[in-house]
Amino acid sequence: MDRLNGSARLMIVSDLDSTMVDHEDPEDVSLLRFNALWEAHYRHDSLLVFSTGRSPASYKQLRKEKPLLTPDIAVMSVGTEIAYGDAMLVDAGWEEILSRKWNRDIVVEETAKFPELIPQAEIDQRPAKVSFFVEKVNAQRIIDVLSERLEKRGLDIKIIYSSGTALDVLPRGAGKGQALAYLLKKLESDGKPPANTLVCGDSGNDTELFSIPEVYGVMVSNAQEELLQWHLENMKSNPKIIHATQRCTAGIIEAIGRFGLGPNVSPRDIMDFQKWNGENVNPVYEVVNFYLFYERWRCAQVQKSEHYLQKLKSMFYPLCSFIHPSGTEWSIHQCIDTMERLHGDRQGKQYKVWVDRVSSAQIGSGSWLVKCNKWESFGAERYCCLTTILISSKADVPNALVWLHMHQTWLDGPDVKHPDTWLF
Amino acid sequence: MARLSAPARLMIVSDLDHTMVDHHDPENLSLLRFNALWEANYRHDSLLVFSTGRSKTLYKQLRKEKPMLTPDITIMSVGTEITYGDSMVLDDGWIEVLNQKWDRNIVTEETGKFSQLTPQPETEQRPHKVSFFVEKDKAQAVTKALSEVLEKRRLDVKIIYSGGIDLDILPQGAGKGQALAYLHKKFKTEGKLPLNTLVCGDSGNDAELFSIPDVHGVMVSNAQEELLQWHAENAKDNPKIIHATKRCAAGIIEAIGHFHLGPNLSPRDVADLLDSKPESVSPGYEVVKFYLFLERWRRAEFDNSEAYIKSLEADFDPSGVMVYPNGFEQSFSDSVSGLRNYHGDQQGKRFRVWVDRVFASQISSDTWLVKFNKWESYGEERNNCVISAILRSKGNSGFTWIHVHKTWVELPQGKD
Repeated sequence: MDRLNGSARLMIVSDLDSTMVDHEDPEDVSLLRFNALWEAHYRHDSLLVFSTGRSPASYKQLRKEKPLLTPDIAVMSVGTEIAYGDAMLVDAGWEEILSRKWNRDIVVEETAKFPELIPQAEIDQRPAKVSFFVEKVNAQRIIDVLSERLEKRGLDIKIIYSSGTALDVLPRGAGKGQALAYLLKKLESDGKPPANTLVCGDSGNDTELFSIPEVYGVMVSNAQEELLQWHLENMKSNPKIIHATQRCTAGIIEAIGRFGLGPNVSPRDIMDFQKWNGENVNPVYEVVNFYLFYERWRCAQVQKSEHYLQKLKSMFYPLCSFIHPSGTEWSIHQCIDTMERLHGDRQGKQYKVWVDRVSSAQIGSGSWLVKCNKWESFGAERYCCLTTILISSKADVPNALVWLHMHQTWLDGPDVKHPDTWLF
Repeated sequence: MARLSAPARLMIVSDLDHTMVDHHDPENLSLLRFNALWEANYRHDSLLVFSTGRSKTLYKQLRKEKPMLTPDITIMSVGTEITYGDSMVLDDGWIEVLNQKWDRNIVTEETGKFSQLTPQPETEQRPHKVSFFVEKDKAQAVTKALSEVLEKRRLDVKIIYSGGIDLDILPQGAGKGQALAYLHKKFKTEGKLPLNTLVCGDSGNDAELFSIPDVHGVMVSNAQEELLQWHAENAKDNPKIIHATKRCAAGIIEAIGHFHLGPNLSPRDVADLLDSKPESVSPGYEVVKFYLFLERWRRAEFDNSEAYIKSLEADFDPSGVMVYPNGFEQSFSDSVSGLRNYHGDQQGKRFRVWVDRVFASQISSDTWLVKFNKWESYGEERNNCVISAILRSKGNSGFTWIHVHKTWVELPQGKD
């Protein structure tokens, strides 16, 4: 939360399954488009918040399967657990709020009396969340009775029914919306309220998000009936909430554009690398773009032309050195030679390259240190390097950047198996 | 060789066993002093050349046992193999020179007839070096007889007796001295003859080094009789060659001072590192100084005083980040603060830290990128990581560290 010095330009609060993540797209095309857009244009001054019904363990599992960025804040277990940053530091204040008039054992005791309530897996049971599966036809009746009984037992709870099957019993103060309200309040008291907030969801447990005053909201095109229904009944005339025409992450990008919240053209949407060294001297954009080019090069989606090789060479300082994550140092000539060789070597292999947590610090007039996590995945394998790049503006060519030095370290440590070909 | 764009300020050509390396000092104190001096003051504009009788295999073995720097040029197998850089690229031109009037098969054939000659192990037999053990009292006679025989067979060889036991048969054009002369000639044609050359040795096979015109030379205090004898007979009046009063690498440092070849105060000789004002404030010196501090901190060679932590805090930009070789990131303020826990954690143990191949390049008017290898040894175990660091100049009062990124080169065996 403290990463940004001032207010976030935009805070996106997005559900994961079927919103940020499209389980029907094995190529994750829209998610990768969003990733590139976020890192290139928003990471430096905006906040990314994931708000999921998944428990921490389940969230981490999803992270292994899908190319998700590292959010600034992860709100998990239907708004009952808030964690900050890469290190996932738990918000103890939130835990304390949720403990009021809540008693897990009592909830378990009372819910056991309903045979229609089938407990979800252990992994999804959390300190402030007791979860079941229940058929739609029984849901409303059970919710009403259960609420009464738990209130009689002195608890203050809320019951959320979602996706036509999932039933969560939470403390009254919990929920995706409550968690967001808590976060917004915190940011405001720090003097850093976001300039704009965009919430994104697809199902029942997301409705609360859309109820927060002043937020923009997008229900992705594939949103579930229960959400659309709720919208119709409660928010129909709110111009700040739209039903996107595109699925999942593409819907989020669409909303950014529709509401004019900022740039909405992802680097992945730009096919023409001629405009590479663009008008703006922007080291972050340069890095995002480079890795995009790199992915396409290895998939032979760009031609192996002399033009591109020349562009590559001109991008690097002639004495630029690359410290490979294996600990060896490569000259730029070795890198470019290898790059030539690798053209098309991953063609047809579901090969994806993306960057996460891109940050840039100016360290001298005209020189920047860019740091990022650089990921590669092909098939089930994925690898990540913590990458630092020293970039400088070219003395003789205005608005052009030159790379002076690159250094990579394996993120998961040196002992794990690593791919045979790794460059940059 | 192409690393330097101008002639080297100083080229040191040193023998290894009993010269650069002291086998009687398990702590390697002088060698570590030399390392710090070299990296802080010479690496950026001078050349380090090791010239050893050892073959490549034994040379690599020695590198695993002793804290040696990476030389610019390695001359092995008594001047018959010249390699360049970290990747040890072989000099083909030298091989051609050595092939003149040389036939290894003939040598092995003829030497086989001398029972006094005991062949050295396989690793020591090289394309241009055939090696034996022979007792001191028999050496001279065997050498004479062998020379005659091989001359009759039309070969042009040289026979070197060294260490009171080793006998090497090489092409006439080979030898430590010849290899150095070859290098000098190469540099000269490129217009990059080093301003000064200092040769360092202790035994018979080093004699040739001292014969090269215009070089400075030091025979370490522990030099063998055969070398001192040679000197008395051949170079007694040469003021450019001295017999040091100190052993091994300490003798080399002594010679640098004696001949005024450059700075000779090693950072390891400076008692209070954090207060020192070196003659030339350079990023390389800063790096050497910091890791020396770390070694001493962990060995508790000075007190766990807050003054040191405060001083470090001033040297590390609080918004800077350290990337550890296991992929972990930490702000400098946390790293520096965390150092408190490491005070004395290696006290009483054989813990040493040294840096190698420290290269600094200026990125902007006040910032530098420094690349280097950092080694840590814990008795038998050692680890090595390659580090990129960015330092910003504070005018005349040193540098601020802005960024450090580490990657393992050699995985730690056990400790971190």
